[in-house]
Amino acid sequence: MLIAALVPGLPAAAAVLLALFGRRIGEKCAWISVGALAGSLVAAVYLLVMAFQGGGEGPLVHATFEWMRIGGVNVDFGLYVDGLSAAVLAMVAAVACMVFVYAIGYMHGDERFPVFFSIFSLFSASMLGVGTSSSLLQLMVFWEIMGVCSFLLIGYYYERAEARKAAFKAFITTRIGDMGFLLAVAVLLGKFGTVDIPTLMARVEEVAPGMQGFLWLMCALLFIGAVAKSAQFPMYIWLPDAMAGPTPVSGLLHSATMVAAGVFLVLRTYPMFEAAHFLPMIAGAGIFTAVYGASLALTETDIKRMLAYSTMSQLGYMMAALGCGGYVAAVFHLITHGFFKSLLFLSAGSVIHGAKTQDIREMQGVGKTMPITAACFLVGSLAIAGIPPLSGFFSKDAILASMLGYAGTAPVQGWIILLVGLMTAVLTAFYMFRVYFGVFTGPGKKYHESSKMMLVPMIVLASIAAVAGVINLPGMGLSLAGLLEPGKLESAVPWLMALSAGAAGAGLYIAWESTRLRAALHGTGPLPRNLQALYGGIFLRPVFAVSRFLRELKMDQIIMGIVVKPVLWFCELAAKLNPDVLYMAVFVGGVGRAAEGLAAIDTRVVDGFVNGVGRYGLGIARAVGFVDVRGVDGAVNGVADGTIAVGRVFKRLQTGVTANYALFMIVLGVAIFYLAWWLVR
Amino acid sequence: MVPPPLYFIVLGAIVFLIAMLGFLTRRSLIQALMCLELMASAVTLTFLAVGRTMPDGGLEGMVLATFLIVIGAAEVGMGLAIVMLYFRRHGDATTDDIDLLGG
Amino acid sequence: MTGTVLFFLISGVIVASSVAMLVSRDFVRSVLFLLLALCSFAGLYALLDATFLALLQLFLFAGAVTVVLVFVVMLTRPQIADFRTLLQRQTAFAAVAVVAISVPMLDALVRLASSLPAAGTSAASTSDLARALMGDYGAPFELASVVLLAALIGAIYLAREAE
Repeated sequence: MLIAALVPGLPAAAAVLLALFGRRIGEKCAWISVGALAGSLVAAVYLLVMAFQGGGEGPLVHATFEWMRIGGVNVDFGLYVDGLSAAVLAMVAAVACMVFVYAIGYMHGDERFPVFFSIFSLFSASMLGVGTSSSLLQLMVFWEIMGVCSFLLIGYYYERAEARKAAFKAFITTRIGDMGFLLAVAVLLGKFGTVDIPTLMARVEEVAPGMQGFLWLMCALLFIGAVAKSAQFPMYIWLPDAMAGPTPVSGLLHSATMVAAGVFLVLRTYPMFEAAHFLPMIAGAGIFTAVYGASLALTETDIKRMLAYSTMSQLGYMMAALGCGGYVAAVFHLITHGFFKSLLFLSAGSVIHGAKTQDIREMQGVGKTMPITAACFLVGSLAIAGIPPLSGFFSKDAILASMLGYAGTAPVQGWIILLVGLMTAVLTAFYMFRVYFGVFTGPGKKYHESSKMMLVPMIVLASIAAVAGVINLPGMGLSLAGLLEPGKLESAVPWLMALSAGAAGAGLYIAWESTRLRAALHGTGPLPRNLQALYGGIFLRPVFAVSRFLRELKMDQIIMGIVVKPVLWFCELAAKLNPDVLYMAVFVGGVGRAAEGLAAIDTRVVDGFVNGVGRYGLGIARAVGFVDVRGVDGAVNGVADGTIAVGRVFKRLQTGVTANYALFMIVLGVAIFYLAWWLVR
Repeated sequence: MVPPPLYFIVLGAIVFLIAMLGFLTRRSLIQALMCLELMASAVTLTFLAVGRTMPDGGLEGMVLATFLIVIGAAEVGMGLAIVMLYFRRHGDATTDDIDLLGG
Repeated sequence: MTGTVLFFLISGVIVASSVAMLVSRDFVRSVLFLLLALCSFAGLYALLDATFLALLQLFLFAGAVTVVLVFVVMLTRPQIADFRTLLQRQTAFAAVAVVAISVPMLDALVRLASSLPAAGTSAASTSDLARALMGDYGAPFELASVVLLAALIGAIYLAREAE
C-alpha cells in the first residue's frame, strides 16, 4: 500500500521541494523531479507486476481513510489500485520520466526553470493521483489540479498574448466539462451516499434496471467532463491552441496524460456506462471525433497543431472503442498512444528547435542533418499509422476488432463505425507520412541536431513505441486482456488485421506518392516513371490523372481524387467554420456572460439590498433633516422672510420724495375722513 | 352783519383744497411753501369763523388765529432757509428726483 | 347784506388768485398772486370782526413772508421751462386724493356749520384779545415767542454762507 502511495507521492514531494528550494538549487533541481518520477515508475512497475501475478481478482490496493462524514454520506479518500491503474500508472510514469529528461535539455537556459519543473512535477503527481484515487471526488480534485497545472504550463510563456489566451481557453473549456463532472459526482453522492469507486459501481449495478434514465443522465454528465478533458468534439477547441506552451508540456499533457484522463474516467466508471446503455453515444461521439480530428490534421501546417488534432483523433478512437465494448482495446491504445504520441511531440520539438519554425512548409530535408530526430519521428509515424509490427498496429487493430464485435450486435451502427474507423486509419497514415516525407526527406538546409538530453528520451520512447505491442498480443500469456478482463480471451481476427494493416499501408503509400508528386510539381524531382511502369494500369491511373490534373493546381493539399477530395473539402469546411470562435462566443462567451450576469445579479441584488438598506437609513435621516431644515428652519426663516417681504412692500412707499410723503399723509387723512364720516353718519 | 359762518367755512375748505392740490403737485419747493401759506390762511379763516359764533364773541378763535399766524410765519421762514440751503447744494430749487430719504 | 356781498367778492378774488398762483409760469407773478390772496384773506378776517388779526395777516403774511419769498425767488431764479415740469409725477394721484378728501370734508364741515348758531352780535375787541393773550394764554404766548426765536436762529444758521 505504501508503494501505491509513493506513485503520486514522490512527484508531489518533488514539486514542493522545487517550489521551495528550486531557485537556490538551479537547473540541477530538475533531476530531483526526474528522480522522483523514476521512483514512481519503479513503484508502478512493481504494482503492475503484482497485478499480473495476482491474476486480477479484485483490486490490488484499496485503502481508504475517512475524509468527511456529512449526514448519512461518507466521503473517503484513499488509494485504489487495480490492473487498470497499474498499467496506466506505469505508462504515465515512464512517459513522464522521459519527457522530464527531455525538458531538461529543451528548457535549458530558461530563467524560470525551477518554476517550470515544479509545476510540471505537480502535474505529474496529480495525474498519478487520478490514477490512484479511490473515490470520484478525490479523482476530481486531482483532475482539477491537473487543469490548473495545464493552465499554468500552457501559459508558461505568459509574455505572449496567444499563450495567455490559449491557457484561458483550455482552462475554461475544460471547466465547462468539469461542471458536468461535478454535477454528476454531487448527485451520485447524494443518491448513493458514496462516491467510492468500487462501492459505487457495485451499487449502480444493483439498482441499474430501475434507474436507467437517471443513470443515463449521470453518464452524460460524466461524459461531458471527459469530452472536455480529452478534447473530443465539440470541446476540442482548446487543444490546438494549447500548443502555445513549451513542447515538453505538449509532449506530456496533451498526448499521454491529461487528455487521457477523460478516457480514464470513462474506464473507471465503465460499469455505470454499461448499465445505463450510454455506450452507443460514446461510440458515435468518439468515432466522429476520430475522423474529424484526422481531417483537420490533414491540412494543418503547424506541426504541433497537426499533432494536436491527431491526438484528438486518436482519443476519439479510444472513446469509440469503449463505446463498442472494447475496454481492453481502449486501454491498449491509451498506453501505446501515450508512448508514440509523446515521442512524436518530442521529435517535433526537436525539429522546431533545429529549424526555428513550426511551419512544415518551411521545413525541408530535415532528415539529412537531424537523422536521429528523423528516425524517431518515423517510428512514431509508423506506430500511429498502425503499420505492423509496431505497437500502434496492434492497438488500433484491437479497436477495430471491438468495432467489428459491436457490429455483430448492432449492425447498422457497428458497420458504419467500423468503416469510418478504417477511413480514419487511412487518413491517419496519410497525414502523418505526408508530414514525415515533407519535412524529413528530400534535399534541405543544414539543421542542428538536438542535444543528447533531448535525444535520449526520444530514443527510449521510440523503442518502447516500437515494441509495446507485445503487451497485448493475442494469444500470448502475458497480456493486458488477461490483466483487465480475466477470463475473456481475445481471439484474433486475421482478416481485420490485414485490413487495418492495409489501410495504414495505403495511407502511407498515398502520402509517399503525394510527396513525390509534389516534388515533381515543384520541379525538384522527376516524374516517377518507374512507378508508372511497375504498377501501371487501373490502380494508379486515377492517381496519375490526378497528378496531371495537379500540375495545374497550386495547392498540394488536393492531391488524390476520390479519397481525399471530399475529406479535404470537409476538412476545409470544418476549418473555415472555425468552431472555436463559435464556442468561444457561445460557450465561453455565454458562460462569461452568464457569469457576468450572475455577478451583475450579485452586485445588483445583494449589493442592491445592502445599499438599499443603507439608502433607506440615509433616506430617513435625510427626511428628518429635510423636515428640520425645511420645516423648522423654514418656519423660522419663513417668519423672517415674511417680515422682510412685508417690509419690502412697504419699503416702496419710502420713495424719499417728500411730496410723496405728503401725499401719503393726505391719503391717510382721506381714509380717516371717510371712516369718520361713515361712522358719524 | 356778519355773513353766516357756513360761507366762511366752505370757502376756507375750498381754498384749502386748492392749495393742497397745489402743494402736492409742485416741484418747486418755493411754490410748495407758498401753497402751505395759503393753506394756513384758509385754516385760520375757518377757526375765526367758527370762533365768531362762540359766546365769547370770537375771542378764543382770535387767540388761536394769532398763534396760527405766528407759527405760520416762523414755518415759512424756516422753510425758506431750507430752500436756500437746498439751492446751494443742488443748484436749483426743484425737488424732482431727490430720494435721499428713500429706503 | 353788505357783508355777504363783500364776502363773495373777496372770496372770488381769493379763489381766482390762488388758481392763478398755481397756474402762473412766472415765479414772481405767482408770489404776487399769493400776495393778493393773502391780502384778501385779511379782508375776510375783517369781515369777521377780527380786525387785529386782519392786520397781523397783512403785516406778517402778506408783508414779511411775501417779501422774503420774493427775495428767495430772486436769489434762486428758478427756471420754468414748461408747465409739465412744474408738476410732480404724483399729480394725478394728488388730484384724486384731493377730490376724494373734499367730499367728506365738505360734508363734515357743512354739518358743523349747520349746527353752529349764527354769529353773535358783539365781537371781541382787540383789547380783549390783548388781555387774553397776556392773561389766560400767557404761556402759549411766551412759547410762541420762543418758537419765533428758534425759527429765527434756525433760519439764520441754515441759510448762512458756506464756510
